[in-house]
Amino acid sequence: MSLHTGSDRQESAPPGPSSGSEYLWWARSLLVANLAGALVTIGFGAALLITSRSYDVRVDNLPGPGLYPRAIGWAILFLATLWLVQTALGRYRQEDDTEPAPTRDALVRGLLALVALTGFAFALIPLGYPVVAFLLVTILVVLARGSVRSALVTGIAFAALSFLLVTTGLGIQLPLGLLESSLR
Amino acid sequence: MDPLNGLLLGLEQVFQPQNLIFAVVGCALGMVVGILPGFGPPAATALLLPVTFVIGPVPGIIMMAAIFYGSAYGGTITAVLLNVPGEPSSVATALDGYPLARQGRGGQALVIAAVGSFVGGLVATVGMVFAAPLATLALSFGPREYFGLTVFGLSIVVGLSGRHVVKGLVGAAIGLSVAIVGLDPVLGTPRFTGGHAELYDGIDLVALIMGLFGLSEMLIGLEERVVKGRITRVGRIAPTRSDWRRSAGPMARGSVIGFLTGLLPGNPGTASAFGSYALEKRLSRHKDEFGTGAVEGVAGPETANNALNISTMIPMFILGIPSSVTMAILMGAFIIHGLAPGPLLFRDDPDIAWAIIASLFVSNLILLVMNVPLIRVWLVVLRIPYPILFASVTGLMALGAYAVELAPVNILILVIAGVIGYILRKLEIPLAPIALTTVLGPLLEENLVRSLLLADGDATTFTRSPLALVFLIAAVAVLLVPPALKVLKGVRRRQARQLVEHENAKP
Repeated sequence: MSLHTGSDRQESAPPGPSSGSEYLWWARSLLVANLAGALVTIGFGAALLITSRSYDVRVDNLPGPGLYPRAIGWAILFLATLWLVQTALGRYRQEDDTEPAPTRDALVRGLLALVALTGFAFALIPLGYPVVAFLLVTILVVLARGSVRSALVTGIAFAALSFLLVTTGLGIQLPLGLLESSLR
Repeated sequence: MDPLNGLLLGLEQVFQPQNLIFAVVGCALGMVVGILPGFGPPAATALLLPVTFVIGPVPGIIMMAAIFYGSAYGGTITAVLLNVPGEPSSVATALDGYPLARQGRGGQALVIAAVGSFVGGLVATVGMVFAAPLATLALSFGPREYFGLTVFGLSIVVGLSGRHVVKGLVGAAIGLSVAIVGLDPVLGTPRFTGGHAELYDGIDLVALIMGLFGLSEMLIGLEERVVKGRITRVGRIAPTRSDWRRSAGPMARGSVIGFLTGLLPGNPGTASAFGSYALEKRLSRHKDEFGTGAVEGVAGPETANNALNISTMIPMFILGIPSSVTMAILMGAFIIHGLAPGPLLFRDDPDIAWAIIASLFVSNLILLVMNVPLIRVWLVVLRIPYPILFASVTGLMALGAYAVELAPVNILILVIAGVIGYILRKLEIPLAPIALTTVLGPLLEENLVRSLLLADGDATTFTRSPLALVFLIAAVAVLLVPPALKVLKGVRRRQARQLVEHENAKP
């Protein structure tokens, strides 16, 4: 949490739209994002309603397993439509305390971090925890603008310490993958 | 069990070495979380959820609760010494804490803040001890009353969670839809599982919560520009006699304000601190010092803040209604361990319920002891570069998601939940209702369907229970009255403007 309450500090610019063009970009994006968000939610509600048709709403004149999902589906549909209407009426405008604009650079770095995490999930069993944990943390440090040297040191330290803590301290067996023969 | 015997039973549990150790660990982690920018209590408690599987429910929940209110102590340090509140609730403290620090009285301000926090925590915990037996009243509730109560609790959280009620409701509905995956709680029919037996128990709560709250917070942290401040000198530690005298009243009043505000589900954490600040400014004989270093401006808000942190737990303990995101995560920890938070906890597992309450006393004492004497140690935490923090915390989340069930698919759930959480934050959809409905969804459905089953499917059954009816009407009022008042205010303003224009137009 980085909150600002004073002025006489050495600090960089506060988060948020700093320049006119960035402001306009985010104001426009905010409108598009709200419209898209409402439409996706409407689609989600509709999908929930359609898929929940395979569950009975009533069983022997009593509430069945489809009743609750159907009710939620309708609720989502109604609320998301309301959200859409409010967006169209200009209810969600850029204001001073609106969530700050994400910079494109941060978005790319965040996306790459998610790709790295997904890779971690798929490579965990074949490569083993120590190797993928090292790779994941090293990549994440670099993505968060850390130096390569600090990334390597953090990667090694994290992989070693977390492996030891979890296997020895908590007694949980982690996959060893490539290191199976050398560490067992 | 009467409160005093319950407390003694709880203290007996807390003083077991394992529980005591995790209380200390929780307090230390809470301090760190409070100090670190871009890493709040929801992310920290979500991150440590998997650890509770290994250490057990009692030490695990004690640790998580200690993190929650320990973070307020940590947030104060940066608020006073750097003018950067670690938590939003510390903003009021910075108004006078930082000017005091610049006068070389940072250490004294921190001691006053720590003692105030301790007093507030103590008063609120005593309140909690005596409020706990009220849980037995809720034991007489049937499914209709529980349904009404849950809807009411949820409506308050939605109503107060932000300026956009519709978005809050959308969030609540999304949470409910997540909670329907798995076996139908009444008839046991698998729903939305795609035939995967591993989804019969629902979507893994640990990965989901870590993603929604923890990972999304870390992703937001990637785009925030780092705030670096000049740490002021700690200076002399011991407050003067005059400081103590001026702080006594604000501490007493802050305790009451914080305690009462915390009882309100969905309360904004900053309300009690600013409420106390405003009150002290009005009552003080040193009004001119406010904003430039009034000790009352530190004592009152800090006391209120910590009293609020403790009393926030009361609705969850007594009624099973979490009032904030962190409380919802804590409630998730109860549910994961097969414990029923709320009145059933006092009936079925009184030792656990009282151990957690007793731990609040002990942890507050631990925090008081470890706060100021170790101030320089805590400031070292501020020097951890964000890239290392981001990578280590994200790595730990991935490890935690996997370790709970040794299932890599949970890492994918973490990633998906992280993306959804990030998008929802950007769209200003409050996360608290989602957390609440994800956790409360099955209970809500169970009570709704049970009520209907008992009434042979007659939906008007809710109108025949006066209590359920009151809860439901109150829920609707909480959601509709504020927007209606806003519209009314707009209409009146427009009418007034038209009247003025009409008067001006007269020759």
